[in-house]
Amino acid sequence: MNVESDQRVPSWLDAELAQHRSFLMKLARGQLRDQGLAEDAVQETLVAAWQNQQSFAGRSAVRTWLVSILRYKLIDALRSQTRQPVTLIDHNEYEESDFDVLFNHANQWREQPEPWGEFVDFADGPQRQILQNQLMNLLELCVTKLPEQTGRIFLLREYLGFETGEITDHTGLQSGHVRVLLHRARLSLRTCLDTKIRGTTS
Amino acid sequence: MTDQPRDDTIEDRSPGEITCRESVEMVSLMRDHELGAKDELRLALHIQACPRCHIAGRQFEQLFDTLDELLVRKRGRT
Repeated sequence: MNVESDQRVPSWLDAELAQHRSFLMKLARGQLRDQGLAEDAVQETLVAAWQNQQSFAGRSAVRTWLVSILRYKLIDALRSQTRQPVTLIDHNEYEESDFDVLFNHANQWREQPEPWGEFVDFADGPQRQILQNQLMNLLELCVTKLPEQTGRIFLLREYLGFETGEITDHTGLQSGHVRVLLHRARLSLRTCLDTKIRGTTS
Repeated sequence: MTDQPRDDTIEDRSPGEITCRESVEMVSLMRDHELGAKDELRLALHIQACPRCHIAGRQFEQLFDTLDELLVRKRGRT
């Protein structure tokens, strides 16, 4: 981190925060579409985290805490930005037919889904935080695999809490299209998580 | 679900006419608080009657719970 000398970050915390910087930058850059603004938002996030470290009680992962701070920085930045049109001509974006494999001709699930079981139904106890962090890491991995524009819309909704109307205002997409993208993102994430959980527990 | 805006609903159909694929769309709409009360009831009836959607619905709940956890939307987690 590069903060003023009177804001010197203890080395242990500096190292802890620095390891999350690239993830935060990816999130910020994806939304703000501006390297400089993204760097500013992340830097402000890390400084705010350091200045408010007493508020971190340690019951969640450090990254969770940092994302919660960054979220407000991004919301402020996005709401002050002019509209950022989304173009969906990228051939990597999902088509509805990409999900045909999950359903039969009657649009019923082709295969019986298997419960995720104890991997997510963690009771309170020493294993809870470990399992929960594992699941969050898997989910983050799955989110990074979303196509660019779908991922951007998903993060606006789920990470930044934008309502559908705000997303349409910000991106120029019609509300129906936003709903389609969110639906595909969620179905894709459910499928990705299912694959990874089965791989972890088998 | 098509790429066009929804200007119709599934409200005029009976519960049996909801497919698993449509139920997934409805789960997503419910997440965004955009599913009408009648459709919400039809979704619940479908999930109750369909073993596959019962499990898939639980998986979506767990996915959303994890997102909420990740984003500290649940009180008292930080």
